[in-house]
Amino acid sequence: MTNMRLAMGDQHHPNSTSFQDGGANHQYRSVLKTRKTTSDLMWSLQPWQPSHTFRMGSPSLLPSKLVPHVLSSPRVNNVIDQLSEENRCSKKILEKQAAAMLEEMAHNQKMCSIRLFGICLAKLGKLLYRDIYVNRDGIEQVRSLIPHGPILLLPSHRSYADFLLMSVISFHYHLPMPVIAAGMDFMNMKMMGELMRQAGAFFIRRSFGSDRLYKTIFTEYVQQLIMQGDHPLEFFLEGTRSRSGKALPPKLGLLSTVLELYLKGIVNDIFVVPVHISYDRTLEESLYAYELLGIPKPPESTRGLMKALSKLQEPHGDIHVTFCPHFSVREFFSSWIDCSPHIMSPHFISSVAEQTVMAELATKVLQSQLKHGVLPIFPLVSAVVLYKEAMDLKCLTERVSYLTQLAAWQGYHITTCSEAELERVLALHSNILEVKDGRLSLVKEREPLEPASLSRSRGHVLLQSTVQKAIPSIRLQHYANQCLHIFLDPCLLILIANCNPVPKDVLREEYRWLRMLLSLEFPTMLEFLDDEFKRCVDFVFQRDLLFRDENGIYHASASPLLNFAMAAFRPFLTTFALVCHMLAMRSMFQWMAESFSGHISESSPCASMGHVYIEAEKLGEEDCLETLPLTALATSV
Amino acid sequence: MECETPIEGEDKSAIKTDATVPQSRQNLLKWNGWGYKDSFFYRADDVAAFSGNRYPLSGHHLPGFFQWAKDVLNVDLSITVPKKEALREDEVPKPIINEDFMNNIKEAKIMHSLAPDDRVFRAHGHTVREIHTLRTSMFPRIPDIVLWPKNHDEVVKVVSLANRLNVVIIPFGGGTNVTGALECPEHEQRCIASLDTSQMNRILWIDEENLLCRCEAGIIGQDLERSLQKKGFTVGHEPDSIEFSSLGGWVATRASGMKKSIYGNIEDLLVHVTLVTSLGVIQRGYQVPRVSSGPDLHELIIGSEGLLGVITEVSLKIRPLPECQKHGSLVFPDFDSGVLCLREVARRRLKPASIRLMDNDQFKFGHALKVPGGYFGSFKETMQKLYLTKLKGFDLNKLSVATLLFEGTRKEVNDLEKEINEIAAKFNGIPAGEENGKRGYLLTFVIAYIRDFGMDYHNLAESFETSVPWSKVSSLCRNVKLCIQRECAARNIKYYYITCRVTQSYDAGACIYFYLSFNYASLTLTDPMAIYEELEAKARDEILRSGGSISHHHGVGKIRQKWMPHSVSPLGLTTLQAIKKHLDPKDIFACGNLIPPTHSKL
Repeated sequence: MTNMRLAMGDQHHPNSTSFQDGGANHQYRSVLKTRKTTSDLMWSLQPWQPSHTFRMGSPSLLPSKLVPHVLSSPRVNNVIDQLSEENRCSKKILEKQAAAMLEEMAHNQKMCSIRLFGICLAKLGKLLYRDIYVNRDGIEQVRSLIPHGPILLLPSHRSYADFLLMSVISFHYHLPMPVIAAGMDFMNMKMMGELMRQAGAFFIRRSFGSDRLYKTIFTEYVQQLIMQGDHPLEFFLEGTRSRSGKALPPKLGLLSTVLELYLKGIVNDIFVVPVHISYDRTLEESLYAYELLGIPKPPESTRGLMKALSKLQEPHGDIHVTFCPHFSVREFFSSWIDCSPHIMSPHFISSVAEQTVMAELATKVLQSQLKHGVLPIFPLVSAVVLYKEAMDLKCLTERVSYLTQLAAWQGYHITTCSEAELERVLALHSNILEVKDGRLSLVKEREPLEPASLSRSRGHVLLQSTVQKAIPSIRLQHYANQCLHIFLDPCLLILIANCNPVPKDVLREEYRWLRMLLSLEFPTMLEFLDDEFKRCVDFVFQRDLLFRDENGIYHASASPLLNFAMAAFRPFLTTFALVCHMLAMRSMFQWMAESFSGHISESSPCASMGHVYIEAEKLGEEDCLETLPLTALATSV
Repeated sequence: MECETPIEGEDKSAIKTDATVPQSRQNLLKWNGWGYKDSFFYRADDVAAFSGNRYPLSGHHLPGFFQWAKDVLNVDLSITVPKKEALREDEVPKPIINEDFMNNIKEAKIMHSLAPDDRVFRAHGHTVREIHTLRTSMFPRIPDIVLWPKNHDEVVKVVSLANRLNVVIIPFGGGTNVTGALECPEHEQRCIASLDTSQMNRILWIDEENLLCRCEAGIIGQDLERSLQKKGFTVGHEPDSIEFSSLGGWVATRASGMKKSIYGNIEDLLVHVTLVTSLGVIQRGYQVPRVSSGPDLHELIIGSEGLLGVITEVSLKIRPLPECQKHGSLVFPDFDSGVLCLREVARRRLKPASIRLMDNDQFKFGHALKVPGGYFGSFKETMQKLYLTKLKGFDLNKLSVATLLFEGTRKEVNDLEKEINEIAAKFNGIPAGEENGKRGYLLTFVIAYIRDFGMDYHNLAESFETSVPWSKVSSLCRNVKLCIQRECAARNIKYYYITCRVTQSYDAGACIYFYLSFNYASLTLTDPMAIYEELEAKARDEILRSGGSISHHHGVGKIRQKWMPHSVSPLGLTTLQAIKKHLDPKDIFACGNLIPPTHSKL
């Protein structure tokens, strides 16, 4: 435990905290400390020179010059030729369309806008957060990589706040400013869209399946951004903010487009830097809870943003940003992919990359984020409370310490579990958890929802009582979910052995099966499941969570983790069971038919969530109610 | 075995050429390095100098060279690598003699030798590994006997004997290959005869009407050109090795010459070829410009690397000597701009005899070889430097230089130069004078001498090349340099030099030529040679991954066999193997080139 202590009050390094994992020592430095003592204006106006960047060859183009460069590329010309022939329309029209698409897409990064943003964000950051911590070794890692090749910064996505955090950090540490892939939602915000563009965001449509012209423009533009080489490319693999707090299954479109540059031998290598961002308190915790119940998010607007910001006066604690160890795409692919099919055609002919390999790479990124990121203590507190492990403070401390220790043994970083720290996070989350006479209880949703909002919910009718009961638990679940991956493997083994004592090979098979079943819930590299299994069996053995009898049969010990495993992971399995059950019910067939008939869209899992709630209430499975995992539904569907 | 006679046998009209390289090569050439004995780099106090009088640099001091070597490769002149001063005959492997074969050779009065130095001289080409072996140790297996047949008929006799008596034959031309093609397979138990074609060096006839000439395959490039030029003609085939390489070697390795844009590569120049295989002679029944008679067997012979037989006679196209020859040069702000210009020149099918583009590192290397007061006067030089760096805003650390050679009538040359300068201007290139152009081509002929010099100071260096489509030229060059940078870092090699130039332009792409060198003085390496080969193999992998080929003109030999299955597909390779097996059932041409050993056993 000692090596896991946060040295927040350490006299020698008042601004730094450190974690040790194996040989690596992550030094976390405060970004806001100096912001609190010196002028933000002076900071934003400082002479700014980025570290030396990678050069592909010819000098890089200004954003304004990049647009005509893309429009005149062989790739774009080629597709315009094809489309004009196929659709018998004039090239002029297509060229105009292409130019419009690119105008909609392209970033227009300007240092002056970044400086302006810098001031605003510094002020806002200080208003909302106690501090922002960044691992300094990660920053230096990125700095040392920059001269050697293109860089992808791939942060986890839990909040809107993720968006410009990387830019602020890059500015602070004089790293080249990233260009950031953003969804179109933001572009439509008044002024904000343009401002984000000037801060280096470029906008891509959420889906453009059959629009070949758009896809071509997108591919050429993104690849040119990389080829220009002077900005790291930042995007969110998960594609959208994870409402549940768990990692989402990765979206592969943008990643494949970028990696094609390597497969086709255009670049020598691409460096991938996973980034983990964790928040003591998520800005959107309430919004997420409502969304998960099926009440759609309000559309992004500048006015909405301003309104939301004016409301945000409560403190939100700390942010920990971890730049995880990078890996090279070349090294990753060397054992997976034979590039030769990709090099036969000219560069502008897209080649279909192996999606399974892309998925493995993406999963590796997500796993790395989870493995190296810093987890605040509150998710553990949430889990303990949610799974009814302890409802009084004394017991809570004990249980959280135990889980922290389990996590540390597995090499995860968790902020310290001192009484003072517990007190702080409980205060921070007093909107969710109440402490009265040493007893903990969930805060009831105070304001009933307007009937108008209720009726906006998609696909089903929400009852006021359902909302009031569910919202606090879902809020808490958002945090508890953030720590589930840590306990997944040991818990699965315990659950299997507890259900039926089994020999090792059966244990392995069942473990594999469960991990595959849950592979959309928890990032899973199928290739390495056996290694994971070995590692984990050793672990549960060492910690006496499992024991083997003289016949080589594995049994679950009566360990404190058993209850946790039941409470935390049974809901996932129950969900699958429930969905199967519902499938058998006639009334559900219709809904299934609808889903299958063409729109398994973003909304349908949300809608189904509501259905499940209602059905579950009927079935009397109320215990599970608060913990039903959303994405499990999508998986099982 | 029945032997057909070639089209032209022994006759009086043949022109005897004065062979530059004598039958005893050791009398003129170095035994442990490149080129003439009298030409070498040496240290004159603290300045590098080049000896002899054969090259423009000969007899000159090169004051900038050591500074460059120190800056780039951290060369420390105080420590030299120990090397053998002379060939030690006691180290030379004892010959395996096939008595029957010996007797028959003597009886047929074929010139031959068992002398150790004759045999060692024909046991290698000029890869850095072979030179390193000569300087430090000895090859495990070398030819057991050297034969000098005088003409086609004698070759037929020798091959027939060898086939009957199961003797291995490795044809030898100029010995300048850089693919390990002449190295004897280590475990060959049979007697190995090196068939040296150097005494087959006559020009059999010159046909002015059809602009053809027929030569015996042993003729050396410079002898061929000298003899033809006396009569007002040229073949125009100028590989960098032209001083020492032979016509037969050009055909056997599918060679390419500097001026191929006008005259063509060897496959374009060749009109007829005679190949002596172990089963007999293969050749076309006529000397015609083109023929449709199924797959062209010439294509099988060109690039066969000694695997199928001995090339004895070749008919080549010749051209009247051009009226005017002129060098030129262009400077570009960076390498990629230069590539775009060369691409445009090729797109318009403009044909300077040669157009090359050196990257910045090679430009700087060229400068390091400057002779004071030599090529261009210092005044002119300062003016030019000023113009390039100040007026045009060129960055000396980024610019690239194209060198040009024009041939034709005076008007053609001037018009072409003007047109190319106009294209260059579109890519921000400016003309940089004739002298700079000449200087660019100078490097070609001294680079191998410099390589030997570097080996004295712990530097291993080699060149390798590839061909690639135009659109992938820039990315390939960049990728290979980054690859070397990465691989050197991984091996703790701090001082290395990787540079490239575009040397040939085609309609569809270009040839890229790389130099790679590294300094191992400060490294504790047991086998620096192995490290060099690892680096080159990594570079080749990267070349292939970037859309380039296994080789443009060096060939495969033994050092690039690993990439043959990828290059011609596994089925292509077994096809090649089947042909080999048909033409040479006893495998007497057992040089082991082209086909990887795992395949040749299939």
